[in-house]
Amino acid sequence: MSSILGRVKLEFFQTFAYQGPDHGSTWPAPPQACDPGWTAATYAGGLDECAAAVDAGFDALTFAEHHYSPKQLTPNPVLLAAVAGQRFGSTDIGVFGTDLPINNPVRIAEEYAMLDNLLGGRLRVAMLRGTPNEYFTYFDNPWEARERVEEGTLLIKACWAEPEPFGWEGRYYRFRNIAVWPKVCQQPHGPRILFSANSADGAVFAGTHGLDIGFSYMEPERCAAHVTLYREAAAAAGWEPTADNIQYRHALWVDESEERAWASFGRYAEGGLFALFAGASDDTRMALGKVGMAMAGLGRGAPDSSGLAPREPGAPPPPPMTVGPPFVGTPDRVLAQMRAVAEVVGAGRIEVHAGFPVTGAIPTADTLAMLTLAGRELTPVAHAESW
Amino acid sequence: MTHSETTTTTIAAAGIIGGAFGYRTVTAAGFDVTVFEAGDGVPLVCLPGAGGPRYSPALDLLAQRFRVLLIELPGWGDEPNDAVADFDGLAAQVAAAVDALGLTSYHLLGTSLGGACALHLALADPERVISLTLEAPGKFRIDSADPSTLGPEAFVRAFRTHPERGMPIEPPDPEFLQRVWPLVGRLMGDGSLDDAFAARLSTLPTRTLVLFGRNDGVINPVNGPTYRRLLPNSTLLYVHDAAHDIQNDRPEAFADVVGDFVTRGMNFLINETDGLINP
Repeated sequence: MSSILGRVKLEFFQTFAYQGPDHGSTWPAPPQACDPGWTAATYAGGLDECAAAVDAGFDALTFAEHHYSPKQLTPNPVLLAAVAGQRFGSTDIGVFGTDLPINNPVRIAEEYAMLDNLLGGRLRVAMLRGTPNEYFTYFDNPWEARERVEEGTLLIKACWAEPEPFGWEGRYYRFRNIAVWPKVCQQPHGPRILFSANSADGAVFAGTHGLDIGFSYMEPERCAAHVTLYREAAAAAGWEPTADNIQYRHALWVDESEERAWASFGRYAEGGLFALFAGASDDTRMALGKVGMAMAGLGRGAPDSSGLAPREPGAPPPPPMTVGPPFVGTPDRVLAQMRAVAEVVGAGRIEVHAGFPVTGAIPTADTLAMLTLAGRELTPVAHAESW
Repeated sequence: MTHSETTTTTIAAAGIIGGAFGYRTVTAAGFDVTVFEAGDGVPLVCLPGAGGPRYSPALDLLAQRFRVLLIELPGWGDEPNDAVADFDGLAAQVAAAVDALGLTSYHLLGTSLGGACALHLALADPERVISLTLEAPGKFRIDSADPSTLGPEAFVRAFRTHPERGMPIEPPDPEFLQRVWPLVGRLMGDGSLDDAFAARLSTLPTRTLVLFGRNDGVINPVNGPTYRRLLPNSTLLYVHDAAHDIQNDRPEAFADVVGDFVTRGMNFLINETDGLINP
């Protein structure tokens, strides 16, 4: 390979997919299907995978908030971040991220301030809108998601920085009395905050406010266009992002054999993202679609027969969802993919999760073996000073 | 605003910002002081910023709940004010105007330069000031801007996140600047905090609400905590999505918070909104 890139950090996203028997493909999943024994095994196995990722040289362990589903047993990722942070004392921890619009931002600021101290400053976080189904979790309004995540993020920054008690009169949040203890460990600003740049709005907001950006699954070429917006906004705000401020997330499955890699990956990934909700009723899936459209900027209006509302006058059409290829194949092939992403997107951090377990959990033993190979073949190359 | 009347006049114009306000002049400290007034109820005396008295949708909303009296500070009208060297002097002149209005006690709201003046007025006469609200007060100005030096775009951005809302905003007239800015400079000083004044603030018993727009480009909001730290009976509140001119950027939010504070004092920290969805 040519020496084009500097060191790229690899981060392991642990989803904690329920290891119990087939849990169907509906959302929300009925809690009666959840067995505490399998839950314990899931957390234990998931942490074993984290240990394997650390041994394999991954630079960080990351977790994310998802609700009401066996696909990810992480409704509060902060708890798992605390556990992992204690167990793996020298590894960076990322929570990518919190579904901020469905949470109390001050509570989130407090929890992350605690976690930052517990981890001795090894924490980074993301403030995200989440997936459409999350707006069914606590009965939150998806049309407000964009403005809530932006205001909430600024409020959290204030919570971490303000030296005196203060109140906040926002558009969506009202607090008359805030004084977060403990102070964040990482002074003066607190943990770095990552914002999703899958939307152009998000890229601009992150650049304007000095945040990191992350992309999830999106086509690298589309990411690159948003990185340009991010850099322009950052320049206007007086700073210049580096590759370390840019992260790209996708699924990973590496094997010595290309065929086996794809077979292993495909065994649990059939149907992709949409299979997560395949078992839901037509009406529910239509409602989920409507939430997705709301998050893409469509106005609410009166629902039509498709369940979608007309676009607000003057609003740009929502971009189509485009998904880039996962990191699947032999080590050489995956490294080539990663290098291409790093080049095209300008990302200095690549975050991966093991496979794409939508139709069932990948056995822990398989993931451990995969991570061992990744440690032997991927991380040393990605960590080379020139790649 | 222009003014020459000596009796209260109501400009009845529903929907026009400031349309409910009338005006009159009172004689105080050797000045004809113009007072713009609307509403009934407990008096809320408002001291404007260096740009002079301005109507706003926020004052209109407050006038639906209180008797709002917007005072043109001596020196901002037709007569120059060479008599004062500092905010204590200006506050004494304003106190005389308040006396002339016959107010024995009142709530006080000061904006920017008027906030600094209001602070001195409350220090001078805390018995009569029931509550003090400081909107982007200009007393302390670490990392802040002199608006007279800003270009047109920067000026608008410093004052307003939403220039499309409320009263139109334009950079000040050069003639106005020439006439008033020497007085402004004399009063404002360098914006630093001295120990003697800090000690004075620590004795002020008046309950005080300090407001800053998070996007304030004139008085940097980093100055807000100084008030919270020094004033023993104070609370600091940031208004999101607003710059220096909170009254025009987010009028409903401003009127809501200030109205609640004036009405309930520090009980405004208590949420009394009914959370019951259905019985």
